[in-house]
Amino acid sequence: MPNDVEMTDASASTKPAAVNGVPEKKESAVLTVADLKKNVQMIEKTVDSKEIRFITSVLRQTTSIRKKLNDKVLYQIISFVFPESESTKKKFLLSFVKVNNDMDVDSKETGTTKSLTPEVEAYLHLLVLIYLIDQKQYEAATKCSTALIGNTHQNNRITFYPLTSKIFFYYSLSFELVDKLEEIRPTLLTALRTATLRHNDEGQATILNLLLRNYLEYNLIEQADNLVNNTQFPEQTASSNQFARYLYYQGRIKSIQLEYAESYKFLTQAIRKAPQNTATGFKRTVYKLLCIVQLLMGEIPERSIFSQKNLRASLKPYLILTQTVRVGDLVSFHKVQEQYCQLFKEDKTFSLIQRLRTSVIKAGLKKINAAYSRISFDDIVTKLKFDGNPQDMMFIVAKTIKDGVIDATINFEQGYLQSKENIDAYSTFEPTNALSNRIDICLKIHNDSLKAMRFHPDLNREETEKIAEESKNIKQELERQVEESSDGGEDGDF
Amino acid sequence: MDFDKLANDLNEFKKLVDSQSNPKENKQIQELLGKLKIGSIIHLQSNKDKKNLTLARDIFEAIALYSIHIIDIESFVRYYTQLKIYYFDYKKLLEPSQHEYTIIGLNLMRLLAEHKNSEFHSELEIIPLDRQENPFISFPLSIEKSIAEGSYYKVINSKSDVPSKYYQIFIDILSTALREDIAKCSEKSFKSLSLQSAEKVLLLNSPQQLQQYIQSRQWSVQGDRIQFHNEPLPSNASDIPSLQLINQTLYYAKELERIV
Repeated sequence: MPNDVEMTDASASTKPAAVNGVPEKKESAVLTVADLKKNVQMIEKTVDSKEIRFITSVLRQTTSIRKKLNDKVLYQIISFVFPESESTKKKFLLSFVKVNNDMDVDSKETGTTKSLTPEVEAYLHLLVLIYLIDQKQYEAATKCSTALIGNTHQNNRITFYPLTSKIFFYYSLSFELVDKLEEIRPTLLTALRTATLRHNDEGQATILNLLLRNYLEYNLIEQADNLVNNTQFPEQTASSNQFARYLYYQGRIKSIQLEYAESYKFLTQAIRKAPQNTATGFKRTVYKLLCIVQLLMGEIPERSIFSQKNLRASLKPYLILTQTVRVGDLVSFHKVQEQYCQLFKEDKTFSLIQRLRTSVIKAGLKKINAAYSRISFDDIVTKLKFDGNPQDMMFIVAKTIKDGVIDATINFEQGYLQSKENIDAYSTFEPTNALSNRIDICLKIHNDSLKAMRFHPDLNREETEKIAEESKNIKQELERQVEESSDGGEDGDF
Repeated sequence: MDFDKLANDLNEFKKLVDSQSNPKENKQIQELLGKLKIGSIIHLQSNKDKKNLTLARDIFEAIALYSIHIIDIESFVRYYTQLKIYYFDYKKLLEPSQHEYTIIGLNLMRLLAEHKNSEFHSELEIIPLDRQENPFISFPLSIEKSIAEGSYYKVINSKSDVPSKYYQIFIDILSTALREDIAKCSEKSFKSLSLQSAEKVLLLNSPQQLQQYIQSRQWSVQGDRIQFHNEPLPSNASDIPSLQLINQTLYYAKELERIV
């Protein structure tokens, strides 16, 4: 199971922490429980104050807490939080946790008398789910997550929104791990509709990505493409991690559909949006695909891509592949393809790599055309180690000429290829186009950064007001200046 | 109409289609076809158990193959979309059909013949890699590779090793399309070509056909050679893409205005 697009969570270790000694273990358990209690309070504060930032900060800690979870901690926190009146729910959650007898003794703390908020319940439920996944109890995890989704559906409080995306992510992950992804498609589709209607942007983005992943897992390119065309991704408000994923999926769809230029655009954007220092798994996957797409476009990827520190080893097969394409050697290309066949199939790049054969031939022809002013087709066949007859070669050459890869003419009767004199690149429109491309990119970056500097809708109100105040002052200042200057005489075009 | 009767109709239909030389004209076939269509929709969709689903699939397969037989591509597409559900979504419920790969392969051939490359590749992704060795699938695959590469002769020569007679009609459609491709390539890559070799290059059978073809593409013939005008013309003022340049410059001006 390739965990390719798991960005934030793949790094968390699956080993239960603190194995180096009983006292330390106990201490860390106590600390964790305390942490969790604090978190529960924070969530309650969120509910009371309707301030979402508390709950988001709690969720941000999930990765670090995840490492410290164990049966005991979960048991204690669940018994602590759930009041007696909710004993069925409590029992359900505890059924996933292994309970030893000696745990019972010290955890007979008094449960809170306060009633249980759905947010806190969902949070604890989520922790149990994550724990089950880490313990590799995947079957139990699916059961647990299904129940959790059932609860989530009944809730439409704003304070619940940050939780939904997390919940759906782990829901999908648990089903993926038992290889039953197709079963949850209808649930995800309804959830997407709900999230969209309620303007739960982060949830919408997450679920959209999960659906795309779901389709692509089964190679349903057409459905995935339809989904992308019929939905809108909340670019402005969703987190950049989700956006990066979304871009990657789009890149993959386009690459299969032979729209390499589009695909290239999406993939490079995805890399730019991905977190700088973490998420190596994600970047690895994107770079692999990007490399193939570039080769298919007839470009050679930059060397620096392959020499990045944490990607060097995993990109090595792709580096070798690139080298054979660059040289235009059919035999070694086939050899590489065979040698890494299994790996390419796992990466799901195999079908794309099969298409590279044409690029290899083209690259070879380009070289030959540059080196010889006139060469017979028989010689081309031997030079390229092409596995066909000269007749086929002639058509291939003709097609390459038509595609504008090489500039030459064919003499059919005598069976040779005659290359044209090199024309001065500066007398063509090549430089203009290159320049205009660069300008376009620069303008786009400028516009994007302008957009990025707008106020974030989730920014808390105090700050927003402060900034608004300031900008108002500046505006007034400016207006005053304008008035002063216009008083000075010339009132231009009013 | 119940299950057994439908199954009977299907058998009869298959027999008749195989025995008749001109099935489109045959009244009996048309009548059976109507019955089968109605039956498959009304009777077999109400109860989705294995028996019903299998029969429905067999009916659709028979009609799809029949559509190819009478060269009604549209109808083939219609039934293929129906069949896709049976092949992929009901895969776990049903036993695999012996025609499954024939029909999937035929659809791939159709996409090739209609120049729908991106759809071709999307369809291909759904087929598991280990199944792509199947002769019915590998045939359109190798054809696609040859076309992408430019080995047109390979495509024409593959006519003799089609895996099933149904594939023939797509090869025929493809040959016409290929001739267009070859002609376009020739225009670009040859300076001139003798009539004799042109006949060979364009895969035509007689000088008359060649003459017709030359006229349809409006090539000029001097003596016994076709002349292609691919000599670079001396550059003149109209070569400058003024409109495009103006547009570009205006665009830059607008964007700069926004920045400054």
